[in-house]
Amino acid sequence: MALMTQSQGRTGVQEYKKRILVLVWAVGLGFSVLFFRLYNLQIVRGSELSERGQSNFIKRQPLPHDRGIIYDRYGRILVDNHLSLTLQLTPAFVGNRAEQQDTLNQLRELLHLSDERFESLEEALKLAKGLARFRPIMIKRDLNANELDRVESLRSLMLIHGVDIVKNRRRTYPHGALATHLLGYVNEVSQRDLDVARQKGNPYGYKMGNLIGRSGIEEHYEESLRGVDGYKEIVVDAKGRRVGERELARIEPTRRRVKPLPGKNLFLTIDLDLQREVEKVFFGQAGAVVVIEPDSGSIVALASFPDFDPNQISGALGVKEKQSIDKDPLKPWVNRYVQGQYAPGSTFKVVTALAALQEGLTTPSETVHCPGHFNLGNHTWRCHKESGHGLVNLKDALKYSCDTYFYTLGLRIGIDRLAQMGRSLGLGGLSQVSLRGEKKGIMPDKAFHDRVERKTGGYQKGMVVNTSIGQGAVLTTPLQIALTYAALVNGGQILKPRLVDKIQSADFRVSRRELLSQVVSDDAHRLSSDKNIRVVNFRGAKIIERVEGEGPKILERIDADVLRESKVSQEHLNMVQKGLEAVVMEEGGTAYYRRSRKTTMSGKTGTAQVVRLGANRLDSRDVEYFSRDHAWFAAYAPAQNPDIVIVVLNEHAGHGSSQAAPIAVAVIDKYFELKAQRAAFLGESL
Amino acid sequence: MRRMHYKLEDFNWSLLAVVLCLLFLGILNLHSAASMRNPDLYLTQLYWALIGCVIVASINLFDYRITENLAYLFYFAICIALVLVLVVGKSAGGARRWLALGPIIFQPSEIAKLATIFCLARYFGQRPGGYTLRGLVRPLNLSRPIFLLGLLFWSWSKPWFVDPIGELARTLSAHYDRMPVEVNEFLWFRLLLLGALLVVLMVTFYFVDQIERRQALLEPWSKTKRKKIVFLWALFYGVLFSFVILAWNNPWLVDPVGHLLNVLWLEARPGGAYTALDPGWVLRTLMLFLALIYLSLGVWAWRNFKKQNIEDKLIAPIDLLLLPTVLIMAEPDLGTAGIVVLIGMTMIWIVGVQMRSQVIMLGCGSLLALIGWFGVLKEYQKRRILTFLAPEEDITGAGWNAYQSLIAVGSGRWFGKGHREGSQTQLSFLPEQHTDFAFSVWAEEHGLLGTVGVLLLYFLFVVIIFRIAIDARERYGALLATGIGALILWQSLINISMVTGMFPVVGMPLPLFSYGGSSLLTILFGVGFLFSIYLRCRTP
Repeated sequence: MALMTQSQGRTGVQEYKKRILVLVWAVGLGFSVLFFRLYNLQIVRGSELSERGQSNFIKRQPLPHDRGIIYDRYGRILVDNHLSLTLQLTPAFVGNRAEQQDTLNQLRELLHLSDERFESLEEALKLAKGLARFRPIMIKRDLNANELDRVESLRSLMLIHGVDIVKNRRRTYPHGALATHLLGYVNEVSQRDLDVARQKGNPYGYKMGNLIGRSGIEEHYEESLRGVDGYKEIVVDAKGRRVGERELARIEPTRRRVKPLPGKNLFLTIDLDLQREVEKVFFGQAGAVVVIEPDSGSIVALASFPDFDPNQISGALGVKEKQSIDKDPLKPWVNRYVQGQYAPGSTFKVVTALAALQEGLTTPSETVHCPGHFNLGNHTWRCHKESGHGLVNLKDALKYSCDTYFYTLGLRIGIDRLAQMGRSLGLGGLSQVSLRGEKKGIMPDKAFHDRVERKTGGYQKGMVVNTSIGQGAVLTTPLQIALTYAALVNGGQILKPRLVDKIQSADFRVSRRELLSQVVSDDAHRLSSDKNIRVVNFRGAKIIERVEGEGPKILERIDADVLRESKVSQEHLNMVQKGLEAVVMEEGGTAYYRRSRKTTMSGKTGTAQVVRLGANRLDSRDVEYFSRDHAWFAAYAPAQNPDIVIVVLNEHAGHGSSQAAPIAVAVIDKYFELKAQRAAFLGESL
Repeated sequence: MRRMHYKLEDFNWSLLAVVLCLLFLGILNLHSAASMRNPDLYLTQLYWALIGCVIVASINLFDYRITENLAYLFYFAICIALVLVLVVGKSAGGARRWLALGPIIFQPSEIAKLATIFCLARYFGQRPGGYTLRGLVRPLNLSRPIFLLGLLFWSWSKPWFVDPIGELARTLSAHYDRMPVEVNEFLWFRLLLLGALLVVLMVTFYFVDQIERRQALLEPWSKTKRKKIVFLWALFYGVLFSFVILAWNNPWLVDPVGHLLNVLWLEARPGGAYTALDPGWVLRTLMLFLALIYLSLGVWAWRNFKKQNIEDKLIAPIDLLLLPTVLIMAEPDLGTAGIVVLIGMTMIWIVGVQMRSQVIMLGCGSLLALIGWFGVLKEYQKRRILTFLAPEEDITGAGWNAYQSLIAVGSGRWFGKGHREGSQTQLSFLPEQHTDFAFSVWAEEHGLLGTVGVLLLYFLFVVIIFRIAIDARERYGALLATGIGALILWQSLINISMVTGMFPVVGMPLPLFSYGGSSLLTILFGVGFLFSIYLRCRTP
């Protein structure tokens, strides 16, 4: 009790009273500050913070759209979409570093990830800091059923967190390496693509991970093929896991789901059967084949070799495949029918002939003596037949492909007029085909030579001699030659090549099937009147099929388009056509022994000399191959009122008659075989 | 002397009502807050609350005044427990906070709050107020050197202690984004040697001056002899001084003990004794030496101030507060340490501090804060501190907790989303939702109506406690009530400020509301004493 006496009793407490009261006032002040803060947060900023709370737990799951399907001219699928499951991992929802590593190790065993892949994923996890932790990392694409089962069972046992399986669409090319350069391929959009799209306001809604066409039709018709992604809103908890139905009430019903809008479907002018035949007969060689309808400019088959399988390079994977394609000395990336520029060789002689006729510099009956060579000044040009062809007129000159005759004509015409005729027949200019990177070729005139050969004194008279037989500076693409030959038989019209026949909207119809017995009798009369309802037999039972929604509609039909009317008269064209017919159909013609046994046809062979082509850039063992001649064959069939024009270019293969003509003939045979089959089928069905 | 029968109206019914209300609301809130993780957690809390009520009732039966005798004992027992925590405590999340006593696991830092209150109440209750700064700090009191010795041993292997110059250089170079500066770890020794020699020289010259003035002191020596002696004296130290400068890199000077060991024992082989010696030994030895001198000075002072009683010789009041604070900071548990300091300062302020000392302390405090902010803290540290002001800036990192809490509180609006309907809570976006962020859950599910209700309850709670303090029978009771009131006041203020984004996120439970046995029992223990104080306030 001695200590208590020191506590001084109530009087001591009185000393404290004043300060305690001050403290109470201060406390009141503190609590009112808290009150104002709460008022500010809950009432003033209440709606804003509620919004943020909403976006906290509502996650938009994208519903990927179906990219437009590409059909051939008879509606057979060339390019399709498949469902693909992608496994991804969101580091922030997995847990701390150790848990992330643990999850990754588990996934490695489950999915048999390669060491390389595993290391790159580890690296990606290490880099994921801050906001990046919320960005999903792709673990594996195209999960198979087994992998899906294993991952799902772990997920349902809550053994792994932060792992999502995302449905996606994969572009598939069911025919593999068929018409590769024409169809093109797709890839994931890059940052650069996104930047470009954003500058235009991103009207097509590109997002990271979306597909974008990289070449061919896929690229050129990107805007038509692309649809719009939809989304589904789901409620997730803080770990990003989907939570139960009860929580779904937190989202307004109208916002829960927006359907994806599929892209438009394309119908090409390609005939799948003929395209297959082309690829079959050309297999293993390098070059290009163009089959075109001369009346409409529709392209029936189009091939460039070597090619590659777009399935293997679509998507983010396939780096190795791409590298092996990059390294191939034959350059499979090059789309030879529009990007390959070749000397046309003797196929060009029709241009020289038409120019001479047009300018009145020769007549079909005029003969020229061919001694096997041609002299101008102190320079000598050889004809391909050393002993000479003797006296030849226009028809014979085309039939035997006599060089001396055309040297003579060329010299008379002069380079400028020859170039003018070439241009009017579509050479040296763009065909405006809907494919990327088309090359113009070269149709040289005096100005061209003066410009290019400035060092050696510009244009020399001998240059036109070379040009007149399709050598020298003249360069063409196989498509240009095809258009020129189409012009020969359609009255001189250079057509714009048609690749796409029509663009169709997607099929939005939904069919529902019910057993007939379930339908009430009241519906009976409706059944008969409503054309969207029909009764079908399904495995012995009668079933009502209701079809609702909008069917496919043709949105756009691409009609034949004339690029240029050449001013050649029909009379002159007939003269040349006779010569071309003789090439194939008359004994002694350069392609007589390669002619088709099934139909009449006309054509012109060509053997283009290659000078120092790329020799300085290639391995020495390739030099021999790469300096061989190109084999050309341009033909149409039947000889009168032709259905198709075909151009075959066989790179570095040798003679046109032996290396290009047989291919063309095989394709022509197949074409008429198919035509007969189709006619028979139609006749039956009628 | 003591009246044995009390009337019903002597009991503080309003306090009981407020406490029961808060307990009930807390458990109700827990029913929602923990529903995702552990749906039965509210039952656990209910059991704790029931145990707590029994404790309240039993404390109410006893006269609180018997604790005045036990206060220091309690205090030192807890300090020992705090030391034990640092040595054998259970660690969780980078901090050692839990101590296991057989089957009971408890947090000594929670009890330390109460212990400090009891201790300070006893100390200040027996003394008059009106303290000065000097009176609070009392530099020569015996507790100070002991305290410093403790600090010395605690920081024995901390880098800024082992190699202060190097550490300073590293800190500065990092602060100004320069390349790290390499400083020889033994620089201290040579600098001290040099300093000591300088001091001796100056002292010598000072004495020369003195000698001239007071010749009587040195009468036996003649003037020339004096001059000669002084000259030789100065020459000797001058030579020594220049020797130190010239032989600056001599191993005997750089690290004499290490070098001696090498020469005698291991002949300067790499990996020998030289490298085996901790380079911090020079400074440590010196500090130990100085501390011992300080200690003996303290003992000397103790023996000479016989007028004061034993406590005043032993204890400086500020040390009573600082000892548990430093021990809790070492765990580290900055939140609790801060609360202990706040409670202590509130009690000291109530006891009374002279205005001049208050101004000085305030000035020094703000000066230190300014220096710390502009001189010491690095940019990222400042950013982390400022995160609480704008958690939106860094929602995925440090601001996540604060941001989610803001959303939870704000989306409650007027009436809340309803019990167990809060999306932030039920979808686990709120961190620590059953402990530190329990109030956010309450705010989300019950809106402004609910939060203002709870706010009013806490205000009433605090006001009732201070009322008890004013009515207390004597100073010990008043200070006890003030301390408990301060504990509840600061914890609730800081917790609610924290969850509403006005204070950085620190680990701080809301009294009676957050889940946690230790915290709940501590508060109810205190509340029991409040009842006891009130019941006996009119006893003569």
